[in-house]
Amino acid sequence: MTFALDIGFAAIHLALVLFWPLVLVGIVRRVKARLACRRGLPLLQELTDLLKLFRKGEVIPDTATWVFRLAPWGTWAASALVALMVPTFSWSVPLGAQADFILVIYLLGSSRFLRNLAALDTATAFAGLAASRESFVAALSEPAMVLSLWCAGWVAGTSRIPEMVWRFSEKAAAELSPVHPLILVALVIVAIAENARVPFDDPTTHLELTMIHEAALLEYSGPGLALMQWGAGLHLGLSLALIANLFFPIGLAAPAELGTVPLGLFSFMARTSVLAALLGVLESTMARLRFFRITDWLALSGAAAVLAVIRLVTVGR
Amino acid sequence: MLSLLFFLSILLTAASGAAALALQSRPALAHRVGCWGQLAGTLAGVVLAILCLASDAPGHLRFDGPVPGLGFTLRFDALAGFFLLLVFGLGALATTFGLPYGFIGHSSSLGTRDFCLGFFLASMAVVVLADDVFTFFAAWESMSVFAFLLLPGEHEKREVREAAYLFLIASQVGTAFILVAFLVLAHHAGSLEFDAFRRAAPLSLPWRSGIFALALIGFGTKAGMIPFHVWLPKAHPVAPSHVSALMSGVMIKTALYGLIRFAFEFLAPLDAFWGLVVLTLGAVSAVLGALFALLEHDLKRMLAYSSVENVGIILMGLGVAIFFAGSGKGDWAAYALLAALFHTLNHAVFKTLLFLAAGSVLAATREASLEHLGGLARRMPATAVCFLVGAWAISGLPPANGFASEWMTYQALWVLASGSAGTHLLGPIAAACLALVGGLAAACFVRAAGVGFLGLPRTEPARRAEEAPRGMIWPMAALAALCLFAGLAPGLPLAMLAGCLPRQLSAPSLLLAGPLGLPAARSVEPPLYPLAIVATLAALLLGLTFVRRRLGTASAATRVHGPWNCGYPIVAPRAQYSASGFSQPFAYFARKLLSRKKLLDVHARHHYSPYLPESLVLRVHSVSPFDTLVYQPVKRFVIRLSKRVSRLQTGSLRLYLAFLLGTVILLLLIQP
Repeated sequence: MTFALDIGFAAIHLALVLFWPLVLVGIVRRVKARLACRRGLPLLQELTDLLKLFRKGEVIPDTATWVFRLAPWGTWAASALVALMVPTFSWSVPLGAQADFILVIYLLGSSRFLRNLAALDTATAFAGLAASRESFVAALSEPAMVLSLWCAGWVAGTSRIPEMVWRFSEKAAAELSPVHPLILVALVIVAIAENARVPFDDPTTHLELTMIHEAALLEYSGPGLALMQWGAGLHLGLSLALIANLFFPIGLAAPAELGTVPLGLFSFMARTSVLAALLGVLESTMARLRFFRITDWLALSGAAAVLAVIRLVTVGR
Repeated sequence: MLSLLFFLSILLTAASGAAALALQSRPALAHRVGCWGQLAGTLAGVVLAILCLASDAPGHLRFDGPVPGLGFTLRFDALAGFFLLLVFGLGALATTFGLPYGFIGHSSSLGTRDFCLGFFLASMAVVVLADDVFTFFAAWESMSVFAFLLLPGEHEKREVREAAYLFLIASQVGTAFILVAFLVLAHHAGSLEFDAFRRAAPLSLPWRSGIFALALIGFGTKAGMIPFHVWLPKAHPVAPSHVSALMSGVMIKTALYGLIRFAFEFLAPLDAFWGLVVLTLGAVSAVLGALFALLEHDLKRMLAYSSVENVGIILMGLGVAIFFAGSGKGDWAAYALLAALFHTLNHAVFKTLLFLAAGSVLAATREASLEHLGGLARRMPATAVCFLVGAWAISGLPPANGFASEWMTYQALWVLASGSAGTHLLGPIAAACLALVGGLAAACFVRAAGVGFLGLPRTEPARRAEEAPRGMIWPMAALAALCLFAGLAPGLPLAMLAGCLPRQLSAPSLLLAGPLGLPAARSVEPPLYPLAIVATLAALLLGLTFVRRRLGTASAATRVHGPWNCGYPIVAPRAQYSASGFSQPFAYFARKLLSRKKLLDVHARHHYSPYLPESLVLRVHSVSPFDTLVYQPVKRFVIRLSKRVSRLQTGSLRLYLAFLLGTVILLLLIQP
């Protein structure tokens, strides 16, 4: 019986991590459209786009090798694997025992490695520019990401993300450590940078020279583009789920208890939707940073994480 | 049995080298004899290494020398066995690669080169087996000398000769520090044998700290630890590629071997503070090594800088191990040392792989600069795949072996942070450094693989490159397979390494998590199973393929067409992103550290306007801060001192005799 329940939980989790991000992308877009006095696209437009792209043919540049063809699959699969490790409606996840935060960060790094290789494979200048800039942002955001998750893990006494979420959800909000706001600031900045969002990058820009993430996808079409877009969506979804569950762990479903599932689902969807809406507001109200000012923001993130470490060292948990 | 195998391997590697020298007038025959002989010798050596690893008690081998007290002593134990496995295992693969590679490169000096290579391999083997100061130094010096002789493959170039001499100077300076450390120990123990060092009562803490500092500087110079690294990126790349592979993959590891022996056997009990020094130096080496590698255009020099980075990562693990051993936490020390040894193994494997792949590129194109390569994945598919596997592994990405050992290093730092008060801050900061190193290394190897092997060829030689012969492919393929194997089944190499740990740190069996598991530092945490991760990945991809097939329509075909390039129709090799363009943001970010200067020379045809230039030359000049702050003052001091001393050299024989007489009288007076 518990086995069947576990399977059921895993199935819900899988469906949630694979498809809910598409709705979140829609929410961000809708909020941005409303703030710009436009009506906006339907919430499920991203899904419709993906389905259409999957049905289309694909044009491969004649300069590219097998790396270019393989990259969308690898990028998608690595992001999906990480998404499986980050808790959603319940703190228990199918790959919970493997969900070490270093592994999570390095799997996201693998996904980026493949994408940047494929960009250089096209032999076009725009894609090369994207690969260089994305590597730069990633190299500088990774220390802050490790430090902030390190602090969260230290407070919780574990290096695995689902267990961190579980430990935090057991505590009342007032009991949460004062380092939480610092870790939150650090992690939010890093998440915005790694998802290539304003103010680091603008996913809707039309000027290739200012692109970071999008320029790497310029040569993709059809199913390849669909996988790349979906992979980016998965990354956004898992980042929002991580922030929502680490810092606002409200109403999480307990494993193998069927009655708590509806509340868990509702709470997860509500929390991530609010975060997505906030992201939309942020994107509408901020200007993009000049490329070499990005380091200032990443330094801010790192400083917040270091402050959290110092607080943990001097005062304890 | 052990001694028989030892003689067989040493004699075969050295004698085949000598035979190659004797047959020098017929280079092709000399090279064949040399390579096959060395291959046989190294294979015998691999068996010896495995026997050493499997043996419970260390075996000894002694010969009496001509002078009493100056014998040769060898010791066959598991730690020596592991490093012997690196020497002979990678030596065998590099020799196999060298057989066809030698015929492509310079064929005039083939015999001499094989002679040096044979003696170089044999000396490295004796270094790790030596059990007394005399044997160790004989082997250590002969290793340095033969490495020096192997360097000037293209000695007609000025910078090659300079690099070789720099290597010799650095080796000698490092050796001097080690020699002093050894002599102090020998004086205390009253014997030159290592066993006497192990048995002797421990010295007082200031003495031990001083000896450790000497050993750290001496071995650190050989290992390429920053700030003693300057010679490494200049010297390693000028050797033939399979020799560079052995230098970066194996020779610098002998220095780490020496450091481990010193720290855990001769200087026990350890002091926790030493570990923090080693950890800090390791973190600095790792970050700066990765940064310099990223800014380097020359493929082999980039790989050499990346060795500095990886030595840094190994030293981080070693530092944590020394810290825990010094503070009495044996099983965490064992875990951290296991992480360091595992990274030593992994770095040896993927660095050898990458240098061999670079050699294959060099043989095919005669171009070492990334700016002149490109598009090789089409012309040399097998080399490209091997290089990509190596790049993936060295960037520390799962599921290859680089990830496994870096993850263990993170785990060691994780428990370091939960240790005593002073280290709370150092653990997370070192982990952040390791994360930065991971990001920089990934950028560095995306750049190397992407600019070097993908895209369009940038020059004519790259366009006409031919795939390497099969004899060069399969050593690379074997190394690539090893990278994946050690990543997917990390428990097997870890079980081997657990047997090599110094006796006071015997690894508790709970540290090991079966052949497929990667154990966590704290036994309450479950181990990581890379194979489970790969299986889930495969399942996800399978599901995706299914969805793709259901959604795809028959009319939707895949077409190959010129790149879209935002509507700009011409895609030219020169218009691709270059290697220096790729690393420009990093160079700009670190401009203060590198003191980069840009010089733009404008050659104008018309005197009246600089805006109509005939040609523009941009020169980017960067000065290493170590050079200006440390080495230039030292160099000036040494030169000034030598000038003073040279006044004694008048050339007058009578004066020299007077000096001799004076010295003898002085010695007679001093003698008690």
